[in-house]
Parts: sequence; structure tokens; C-alpha cells
Amino acid sequence: MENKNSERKQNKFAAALKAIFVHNIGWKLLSLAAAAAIWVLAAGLL
Amino acid sequence: MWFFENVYEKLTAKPWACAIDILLTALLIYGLIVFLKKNNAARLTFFILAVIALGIVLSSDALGLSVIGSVLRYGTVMAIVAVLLLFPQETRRGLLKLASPRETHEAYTTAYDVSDEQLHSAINDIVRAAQNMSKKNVGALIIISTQNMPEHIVDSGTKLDAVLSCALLESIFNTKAPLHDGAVVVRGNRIVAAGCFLPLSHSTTIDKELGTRHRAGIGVSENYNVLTIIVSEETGVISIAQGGELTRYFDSQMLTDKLEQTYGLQATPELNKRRKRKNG
Repeated sequence: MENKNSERKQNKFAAALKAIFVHNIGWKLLSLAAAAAIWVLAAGLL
Repeated sequence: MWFFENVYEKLTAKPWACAIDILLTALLIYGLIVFLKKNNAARLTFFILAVIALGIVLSSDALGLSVIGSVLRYGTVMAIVAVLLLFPQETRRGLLKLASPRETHEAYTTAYDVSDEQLHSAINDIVRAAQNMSKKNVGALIIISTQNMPEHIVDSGTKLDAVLSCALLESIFNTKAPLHDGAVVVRGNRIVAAGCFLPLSHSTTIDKELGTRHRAGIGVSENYNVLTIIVSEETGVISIAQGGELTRYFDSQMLTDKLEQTYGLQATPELNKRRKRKNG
């Protein structure tokens, strides 16, 4: 039972890591680039 | 030159604040992209970002265009409100998710007092029933409900509270049975009610060839934390709706995997072997 629970936890952890670093990575990088560009514009002009 | 000086000054004054600022903005933009992508309007993101950038440029003190700068700055807020108003169903669903953020599979692992074996048996029965009805072109709508299934939907049908079985599901959806024209609500390994009426989806992105059964299946998954299995009466195609999204052409293995994932179960090696033996 404990093994099963720890296995489930590990799977959840792996799924969470995958969701952060693999899933939709292109859009995430694009968001980061857009945010950085907007910040630079705002910092320089406002 | 003053532009870069300003940027350098702000970066060196509070570097951590800058990093957090950029990360939070990125998170906001990513949320917007995901929201618009789900509604087939990802291109709108570029328009909104362009308006924001233009607003910053035109409202800068260096240009001195105070009127257009203010218009664009308030225009950005208006654009975000407009997006929320353009997609009222999705906004409502998002707010509901905020109110009950637990995922479907998490709800199942705690809400039922049944063993994993009983849940596996229920899954096998659902899959077999769906396959049989698909072969005979019998329409079916099965809702795998979670803790927040509203009472008015259950009350709109006939309460059963019966142990789920393949034969019972097929009997309910038999075209000559009085309960076939509606949805079956399943909770754990029990059929809670049959012949239930569901809210229809008003989404404009649903394929026109799909009928009312599919719209009802998508509609209920848009509003509540449920998984819906739909068997088409015309084509026998098995589809699944979850979170307002429809995925079609499920075979028995895919359906089993999806249900096991929904119920928070891990397929045991013995069951996999048994399944492989059955499939020959």
C-alpha cells in the first residue's frame, strides 16, 4: 500500500515537472519574451 | 540613449523586483494565451500584446502624446473586459474552477468507499457497454460525476442508485426503454440516475454534424467537473467531453485508460495481462 502511494506521488511529481517544463514550452517561452519586451519598453519609456 | 540609461537604472536598483515583475507578466500573458487558444482565438493575443506595447510607447513622457496614450492605456483594460464578455461560458467555468480547484481524479480517490477492484470492474462494465452500443449504433450519454454534480440535474431524471453493470447500462439506452432519451449519471461504481436533462453547450466551435447529445455532453462538462462519454447514434463513434473539450474516436483501450486516470487508478500488471488475454 505504501509503495503504491509513493509510486502515485512520484508519478504526480513527474507529471507536474512535465507540465511546467515540457507542455506548451513554445508558448511559455513566447510569453516570457513578450513580458521581457514589455518590461523593457515600460522601464525605458515610463 | 536615455532609454537604455532608464532601463539600466531600474535593473540595478531592484533586480529581484524586476525579475518577479517580468515573471508575473509572463504568467499573465501565458494565461491569456491558454484562454484564447482554447477558444480558437490565439491570434487575438498578438493583437492585445501589440496594443499594450503601443500604449506604453505612446503614453511615454518623451513623445508627449497624452490623449492617445491615455486612450490606449484604458483601451487595454477595455480589451481584457471585452475578451471576458466575448467568452461568458469560459469565464464562468474559470470562476467555478477557482471555487473548486480539485481535479476530477482527486475527487474520486477520497469520495468513495469502494475498493480499487470494484472501480476496475465498473470501468470494465462501462467500456464494454460503450463498445456494444457503438457496434449496434445505439446512442448513449454517460456522465462520470464528481462531488459537485448539481442536484437539479439528478432530479431532472429518474433516481436509480443501482450497482453499475454492462447489462444495466445497455438496458437503459435501449431505444425502446423509457429512460434512453437522457443522460446516465455515474458516481463511483453506482448509477445515480438515468434519463437526466443537461444544459446544452452554446459554443460555436462544435462541429455542425454533431447532434444534441454531443452538445449536451459538452455543455455539462463546460459547467461542471465531470467526464462525459458520448456514443453517437448515427456513426457509433465513442467520444469524451471534459472541461468543455470533445475528443472523438475512442477505442476500448483508450477509454479504459481515460477512466482509470479519471478514477485515480493505476492499471495493475495482472489486469493488463487479463485484458491482453481477453483481446487475444
